[in-house]
Amino acid sequence: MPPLPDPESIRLAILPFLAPQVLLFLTFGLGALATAVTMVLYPNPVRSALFLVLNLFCVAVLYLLLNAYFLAVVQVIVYAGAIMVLFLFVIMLLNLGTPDRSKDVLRWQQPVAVVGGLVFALVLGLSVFSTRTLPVLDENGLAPERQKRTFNAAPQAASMLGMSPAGVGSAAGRDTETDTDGSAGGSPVGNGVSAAEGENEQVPTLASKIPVTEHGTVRGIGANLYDPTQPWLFPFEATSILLLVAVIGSVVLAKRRMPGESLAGSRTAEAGLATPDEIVPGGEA
Amino acid sequence: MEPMNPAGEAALQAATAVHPLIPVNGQVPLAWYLILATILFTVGVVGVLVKRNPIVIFMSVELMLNAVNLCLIAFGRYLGNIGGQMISIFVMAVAAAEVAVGLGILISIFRSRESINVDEVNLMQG
Amino acid sequence: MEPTAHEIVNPLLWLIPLFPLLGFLIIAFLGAGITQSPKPVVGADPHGHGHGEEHHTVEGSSELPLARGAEDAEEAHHVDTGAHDAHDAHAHGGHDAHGGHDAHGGHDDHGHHGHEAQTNPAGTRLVGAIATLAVLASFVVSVLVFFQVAASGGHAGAEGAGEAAHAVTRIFSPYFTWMHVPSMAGLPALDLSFRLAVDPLTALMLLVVTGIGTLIHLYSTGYMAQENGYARYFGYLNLFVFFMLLLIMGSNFLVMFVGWEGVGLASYLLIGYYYERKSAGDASKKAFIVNRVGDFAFLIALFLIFKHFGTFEMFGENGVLSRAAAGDWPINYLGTGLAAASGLVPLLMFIGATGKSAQIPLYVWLPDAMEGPTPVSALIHAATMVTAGVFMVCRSHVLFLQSPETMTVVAVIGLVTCFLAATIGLVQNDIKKVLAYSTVSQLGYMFLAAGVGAFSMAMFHVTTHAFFKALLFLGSGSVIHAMHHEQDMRKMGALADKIKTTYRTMFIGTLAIAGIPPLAGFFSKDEILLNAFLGPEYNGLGHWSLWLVGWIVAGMTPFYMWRMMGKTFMGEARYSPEFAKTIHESPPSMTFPLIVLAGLSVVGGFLNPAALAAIGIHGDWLHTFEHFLGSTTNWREAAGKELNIPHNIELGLVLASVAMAVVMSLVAWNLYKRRKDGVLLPEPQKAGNRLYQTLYNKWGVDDIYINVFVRGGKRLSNWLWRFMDVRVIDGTVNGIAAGIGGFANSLKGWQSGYVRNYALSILVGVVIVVVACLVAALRASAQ
Repeated sequence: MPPLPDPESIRLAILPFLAPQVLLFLTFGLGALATAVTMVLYPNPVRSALFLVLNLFCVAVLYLLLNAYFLAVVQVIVYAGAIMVLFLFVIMLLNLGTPDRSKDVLRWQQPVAVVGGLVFALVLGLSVFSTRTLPVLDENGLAPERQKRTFNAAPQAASMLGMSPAGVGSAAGRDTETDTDGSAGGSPVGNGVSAAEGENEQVPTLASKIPVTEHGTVRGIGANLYDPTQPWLFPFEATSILLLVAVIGSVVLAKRRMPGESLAGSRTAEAGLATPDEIVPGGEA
Repeated sequence: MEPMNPAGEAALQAATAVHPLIPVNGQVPLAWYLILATILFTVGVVGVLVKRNPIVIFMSVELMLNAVNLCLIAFGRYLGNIGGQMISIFVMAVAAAEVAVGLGILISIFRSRESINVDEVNLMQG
Repeated sequence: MEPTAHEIVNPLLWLIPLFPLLGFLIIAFLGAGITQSPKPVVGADPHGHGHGEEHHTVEGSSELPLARGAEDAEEAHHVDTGAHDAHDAHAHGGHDAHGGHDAHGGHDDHGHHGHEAQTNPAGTRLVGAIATLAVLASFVVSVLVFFQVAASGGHAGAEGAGEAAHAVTRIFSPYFTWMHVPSMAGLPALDLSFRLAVDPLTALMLLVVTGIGTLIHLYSTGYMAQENGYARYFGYLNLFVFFMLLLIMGSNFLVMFVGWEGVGLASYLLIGYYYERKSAGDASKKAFIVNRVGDFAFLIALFLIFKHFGTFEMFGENGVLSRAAAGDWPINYLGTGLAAASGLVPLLMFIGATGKSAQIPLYVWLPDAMEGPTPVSALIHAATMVTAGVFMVCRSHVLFLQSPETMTVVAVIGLVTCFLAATIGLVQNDIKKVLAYSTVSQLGYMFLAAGVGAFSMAMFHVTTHAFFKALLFLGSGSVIHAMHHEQDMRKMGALADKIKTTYRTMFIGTLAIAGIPPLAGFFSKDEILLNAFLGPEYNGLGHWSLWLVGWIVAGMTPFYMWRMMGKTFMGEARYSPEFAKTIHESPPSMTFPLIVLAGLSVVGGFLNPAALAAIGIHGDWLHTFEHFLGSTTNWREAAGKELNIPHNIELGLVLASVAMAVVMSLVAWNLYKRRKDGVLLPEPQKAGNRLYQTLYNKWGVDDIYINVFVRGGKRLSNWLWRFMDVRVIDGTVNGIAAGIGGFANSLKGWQSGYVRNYALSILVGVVIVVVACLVAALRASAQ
C-alpha cells in the first residue's frame, strides 16, 4: 500500500481548482449539463421546455465567465425569453403537452443512437487533445499574443479611409503585455489594426478603439459589427432579410386555412369565395 | 493554429500546465469549455435521435446550437479574437428565424393530426 | 525429286474460267427477264411448243399437254378425247406424286407447273445458247492449252532415263496478288496469289469438264425447255462450271479451295432447283452440310500445310508439292513423335475428298442429290464434282505417298464404299438411284486405285467413268423425259422399241460400265484391279484381298446395270397403252450428246489399253494416258519402283475380269429380259427377306446418321438452349439485373421515411468525417 501523500501536496494539488472562476464554471457547467440531460430524458414536453430554459440560463452565466457580456444578456432575452416562449406557445396551441406513451416503432433507434452519441462524444473529445497545445490565459485573463491575420475585408472601405487595401490589420500590436486592463483608448490592439504587414501604422477604425478586455461589451460588439473594415456588415444585413423571410414564412405556414384553400393561398370555388376575376374593383368588399 | 511570435510562444510555454485539463493562472482551461460543449452537443444529438415528440426534437436542436455557441465564444476568448462572439450573434439570429419557421411547419403538419409522433410523418418511405 | 518443269506464262488461261463466269453473270442479271414473256398466253399451243420443234414430228400427239404447265387449267381444254385419258393418267400420276406418295420411289423430276409467267421461247433459246456457248468457248481454249501442254511435254522413253526425261510443262497465268499479309508477331508472311496453272493433269480434267459440260448444256436446252426457272438453271450450271475450273486450275491450295467450296455451293443450288418440293430442299441441305464436314477437314489440312510450309503454292521451288517430294516433310506433327502423325495432313485431305466424292462416311448426300434435274446429276454428280476429290488426291499424291498408313486408309475406304454402294444399288427401284449408287461404287474404285499408288489409273477411270456415267445419266434422263417424268422402274418396261436411240446408247454405256472389252470401262477397271492385286513383292502397294473384293464388285456392277436395263427397256409395258402412245424419243439436242458419249465410251478405252499386253500386244501406245500425265501422277519412275508385272498374273487377272463381267452380264440380262414384270422376287418375298430389306434401307446408314447426328444434334441444341442459353446466359444477365434490383430493393430499406433514421445516418456520417479529419491531422502532426 503506497503511503498517503502529505497534506501539503494534496493542498497544492487541489488549490488550482479552488479559484473562483473555476468554481463558478464547475457549478454552472454541471448545472447546464444536468438540465440538458433532464430535458432530453423527461417525457413531458412542457417540463422539457422549462428545463431547457434553465439550461439556457446556465449557459448564459458561462458566457459571462467568458467575458461575453452582451451575448449573455442576448441569450437570456432572445433565447430564453423569446424562443422558448414561442416553443411554449406552440406546445399550448397544438396541445402537445401530453406525454407520448406509445411504443417506439424503431426499436433499434434508441440503443444505436446512444452508442452513436457516445462514439461521437468520444471522437470529438479526442480531437480536443489532438493539437499541440491549447491556448492558456495569463493572470490577467488575457489571451497570449500572436500574429493575428484578419480577413481581407472591404477593400473599398479601406481605400475610403485612406488605407492600403491589402493586409488590413495584419500586424499585431506588441505592447499588450505591458498594457494592463483598462488602458484603452487609442492603443491599437486586438483586431482592426489597420497596418500593412510589418508596419505598425495605426489608422483609427471603429474596432481598433476597443481594447481586448472590452470585447464582449455592447460597445465592443457594436464597434466590431458596424466597422466597415470588418467582415460583419454583410452578414448583418443578410440576417435582417433572413428574419424578414422567416416572419413571412411562419405567418404563411401557420395560418389557419379556409376550407378549399391550399397552402399557396389561392382561392378555389370550394372556398365559396369570389375568384379574383369576379371581384369588381371598388365594388363589394 | 496560427504561428506565434516568439515572445508569446515563450510565455505560453512557460504558462503551459502539466496537463491541458488543469487550471492555470486561476483560469478555467479551454479544454473544459470544449468538453462541456461537446457533451451538450452530444446530448442534443441523442435527443434529436431518440425523442419522438417533434417539439422536444426542436428543443434538442436548440441545445446543439447553444453548445456550438459556447464553443465559439470560448475559442474567441482564448484566442483573443472577437470573431467568435460575432459569429455567435448571427447564430442566435438564425436560430431564432429557424425556430419560427420550423414551428410554423410543425403547426401546419400536426394541426390536423391526433397524435404528435414524428414517426407518423413517413410518407417518403420506399 | 520432282523433275524440272517447263514453265510458261500464258494469259489465255484466264479465259477458261472467264467464259462461264460471264455466262453466269449475264444470265443472272438478264436471264429472268429474257426468258419470261410479259404476256400470259392462253391456250394449248405454247405448251406444245415448249418441247422444241422436233418433238412434233416424232409422235402425233403434239397438242397433248406434255408440258406440265397449267395442267389444272388445261383439263377443260382438251380437244382429243383420247388424249384426255392419257392426260388423266399423267395427271393422276402427277397428282400422286404431288400428294407425296412414296410408293413410286420419288417422282423427282416433276418440277413445278408453269402457272405463273409463260416462257418466251426465243428468250429461252437465247439463254440456253449463251450458257452452252460459254462452256464451248472454254472447251476450245482448253483444247488449245492442251496442245500447248502436250506439245512441249515430255514423253517417257524418248530421251532415256534421267531427270530431264520427265519434264512436265506447266503453264501459269500471270501472277496476281490476291492478298499479302506481312509477317508479324513471329508468324510468317502470307502471300496469296490468284494464279491458275495448267499441267497435263489439269489439262486432262479441263477437257473432261468443259467437253462433257458442253454436251450436258446442250442436252439441258432440250431437257429443261419447259421449266420456268430456265434461266436460273443455266446460270447455276455456268456458275458450277466456273468453280470447277477454278478448282482444277488453281495453282495454290487456296484457289483450289475456293473452287472446292464453290462447287459445293453450286451443287446445293442445283439440287434444290425444284425448291418448291420439300424433299429437294432437304436433299440440297443434306448435300451441303455433309460436304461441309469434309470441307472442314480439308481446311484443317490446309492450316497444317501452311503451318509447316509457310505457303499454299503447290508448284515452284517453294511449292508445297515440290518441297514434300524433296523430303521436306514434317514427321513430328503435334509433338507426338509418331511417324504416323505425319499422315495427318493427307488423312484430313482425304476426309475432305470423302465429302466431295461421296465415300464412306460422307456419301449419304449423293443418292439424295438425285432430287435435282437429271442433267445436273450427270454433270455434277457423275462426271465432274465428285471427281474433284480424286483429282485433289492425285494432285497431292506426293503428300499421300509419304504416309503408307493414309494410303491404306484410302484404299480400304474406297474398297468398302465400292462394295457397299454396289450392294445397295442392287435393289433400288428408282432409275436414278441405281445410277447414283453406281457412281459411288465407281468412285470407290478410283480411290482404291489412288490408295495403291496407281494415281494415273485413277484419273483414267475418272475419264472413262465420266464418259459412260454421263451417258447413262443422260440416257436415263431421256427415259424419264419420255415417260413424262416417271422414274420408278417398276412402272416402265418395253421401251426398247419406242425410244431406240436412247436404248441403244444406254446399251453401249452399260456394256462399258460392266467392263466388257474392248469398251472403255474394261481397260480402266482392269488396270485398277491389277494394281490392287500386286503386292510388295512386285513393287506394288496392293494386296490380293483388295483385288478379290474389287473383283466381286466388278461382278455386281454388271448385275445391277443389266437389271436396270432389263426393267426399263424389256419385259412388258407396266403402263397403260394410252400412255404408251405418248412416249416418243427425245429431241436431237438430247440425243446428240448421247451419241457422242456413246462413241467416246467405245473408243475411250484405247487411250490406255494396257490390258492388251496380256494378249501379247506391246508398245508405248498402250500407256499413252499414263505418259501424258507424266510426273504429275507418275511417281514410280522417279522413285525407281516400277511395277514388276509377271505375264501370267496379268493374263490371269484379265481373264478373271472378263469372265466375271461377261458371265454376270449374261446372267442378269437373261434374268431380267424375260421377266414380264421385271422383278425377280415377288413383293411378299421381298418384304420378308431380311437381307433384301437391309439392302433396301441402305444398310441403315441414313438412319444411323439421323439418329446420331441429326437427333443428337437437336438434343444437344435443345440442351444448350434450355441449360446454357436460358439458365446460364439469360440467368446471368437476368441474374445481374435481378441482383442489382434486389440490391437496390434492399437499399430501399434505408429510406424508411422516418426522420429519426435519417438523422441517425447523418450522425454516422459526421462521425466518419470527424474521424477522418482527426486521423489526417494526427498523421500530419506526427510527421
